[in-house]
Amino acid sequence: MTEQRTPPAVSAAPYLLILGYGNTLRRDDGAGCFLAQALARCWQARGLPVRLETGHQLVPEMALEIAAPAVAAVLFVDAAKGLSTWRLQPVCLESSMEGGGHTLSPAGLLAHARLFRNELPPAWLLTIPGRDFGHGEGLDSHTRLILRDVLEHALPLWQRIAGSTNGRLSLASQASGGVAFGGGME
Amino acid sequence: MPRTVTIDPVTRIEGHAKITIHLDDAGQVADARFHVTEFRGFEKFCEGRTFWEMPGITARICGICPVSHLMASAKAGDAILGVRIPPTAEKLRRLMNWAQIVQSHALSFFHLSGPDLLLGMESDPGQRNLMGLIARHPDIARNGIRLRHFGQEVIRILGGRSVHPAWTVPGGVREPLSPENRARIQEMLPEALAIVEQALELYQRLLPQFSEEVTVYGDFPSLFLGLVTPAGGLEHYDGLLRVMDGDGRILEEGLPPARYREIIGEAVEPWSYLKFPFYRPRAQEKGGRYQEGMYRVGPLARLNICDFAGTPRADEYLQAFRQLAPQGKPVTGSFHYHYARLIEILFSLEKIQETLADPEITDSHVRSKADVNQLVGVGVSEAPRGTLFHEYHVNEDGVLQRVNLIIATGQNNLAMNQTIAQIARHYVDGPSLRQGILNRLEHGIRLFDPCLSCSTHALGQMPLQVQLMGPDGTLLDELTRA
Repeated sequence: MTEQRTPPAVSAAPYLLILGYGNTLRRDDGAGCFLAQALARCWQARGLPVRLETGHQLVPEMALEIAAPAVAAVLFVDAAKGLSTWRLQPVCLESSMEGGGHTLSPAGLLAHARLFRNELPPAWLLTIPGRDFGHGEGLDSHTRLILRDVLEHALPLWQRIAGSTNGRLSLASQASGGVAFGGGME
Repeated sequence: MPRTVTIDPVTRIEGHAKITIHLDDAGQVADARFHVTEFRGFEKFCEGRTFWEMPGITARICGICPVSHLMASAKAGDAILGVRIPPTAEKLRRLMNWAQIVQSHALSFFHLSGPDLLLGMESDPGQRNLMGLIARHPDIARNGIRLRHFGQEVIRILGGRSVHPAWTVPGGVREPLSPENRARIQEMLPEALAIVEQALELYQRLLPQFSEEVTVYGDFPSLFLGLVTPAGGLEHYDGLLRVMDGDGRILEEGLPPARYREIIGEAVEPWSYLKFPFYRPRAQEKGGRYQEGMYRVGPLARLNICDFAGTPRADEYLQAFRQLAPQGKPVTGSFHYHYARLIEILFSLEKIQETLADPEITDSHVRSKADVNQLVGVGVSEAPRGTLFHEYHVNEDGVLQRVNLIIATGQNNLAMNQTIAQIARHYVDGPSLRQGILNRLEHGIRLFDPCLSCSTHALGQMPLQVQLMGPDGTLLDELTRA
């Protein structure tokens, strides 16, 4: 099942919105969804405020999720061909030149979100390399290893993202097993 | 010297297609063809699976309108079970189908066609896209998102998720609607209704600017086919088949959908994987030429064939829509698919409102249980793009022996070909092409909102390539939009 959504936060406390996307019936294309779910579980276990949404692709109505006032940052999680390792990059609104349609890029979706919210939260794209995008479920063994590596960096990832929110998200303590800062972050 | 202009690809996501324009020796357009160049084979690889699995499998035909396949497939399953599903289950299925129409039509009008309508058919392609629309008309872009969100949210509330919800099943639906969820949908309705009324007013104001396009973008007589209620009203889920000709005469009245094969044939051409459904009796009258049996389906056809809509505001707009044609005649301009879509959104919202007010809608009995009682089942419903047919032949264990699917996009195939030929003849003159003409041709396809429409939209980065070929295959000219 690709599409998953945690309930909206009942309070107005700031949270990280995680948008994982891809087709879980096309092998590694689903890695974005699996990783988003795993990161959400990992951060929630530490008491960190996150909201998860996964789907086959980014679609226009997700702009309303991003525009919610309590969203302190957005993390897009996707799989792509041609990468040697995973990477975390900021998403710049200005980089969007697309026309739109049934599916959107992270930057395109941010452009939509700006229709509903003047000050957009910082947005990040976490991309993991995929090898096998053929029909079928489950991930390639190499992709699974990379997912494990990303999860080992979950805490520094959080700190990197939280650090961009002007204090709206706490940096979280390293006391519960933080690891070295990952080389896949830009 | 005959030459061919090729536009390839015109799609990017869920299908591959191209357009070729064939010029004669004088450089005038002799013909134009819309080629669908992807083969998917659903009818074949479903053989050997059980009919119970078919809603889940066939929904994967499309990530844009999976609900339509869920409906037709579940209805074919109902027929194999030989059951009448509970009344509440039918009402809930209808709710989801209307929600699907709202979200799909909203995307078509606001996002896919909005830039052309509001920024100009031949305006700068770098600006004529959704980003340009957001910059110049933020309120309209905002409304499009909100309306689509409404439709998707209703689907999600009913089915648990907005894409491929595993909720509609042979015999009914899996889960009833709770009073709390009914209230959630009701709360969202006023805004959605206000948005579509604004969009209809906007479209009526814009229409005079497109007087040329109205007459050139697929304006020709054809047959129209779709479902109507037993009383002749606008219908999207069940009902009876009606066929109307270009003069407004009813050729088929009250035909049970399960007998569709009596009137619909399917032709194939070597240059496209998309079949060419046609109205069999007309083709036979005209010496067997299947092209003579061309008919259109979808919003334009549905509004033409029905006697009335059946809701207050949609009926008012239907009267205005009918004034686009002489008294008693159908509206023949394909450009008015846009108008028909907006009226259908309004109708769907009014029907959702009416259905939610029914006390039975939260009844918990939503599924009939049975096993295989019939070896053939036909399920027919109206997808956003037109009438959708699923026919399953099973053995006594419910294992599929044969499958036939006739999708809406296919039924508009002949009309799409005629539309791009008409546009090409009007705008293409000689061997040179302007970028704007490419968009006009794509808009001609976009009117029908085929599943290819997301990729035929004027995307800023759309890899659209047009080639002018000599008869020996020599590349004479090339245009690329990147």
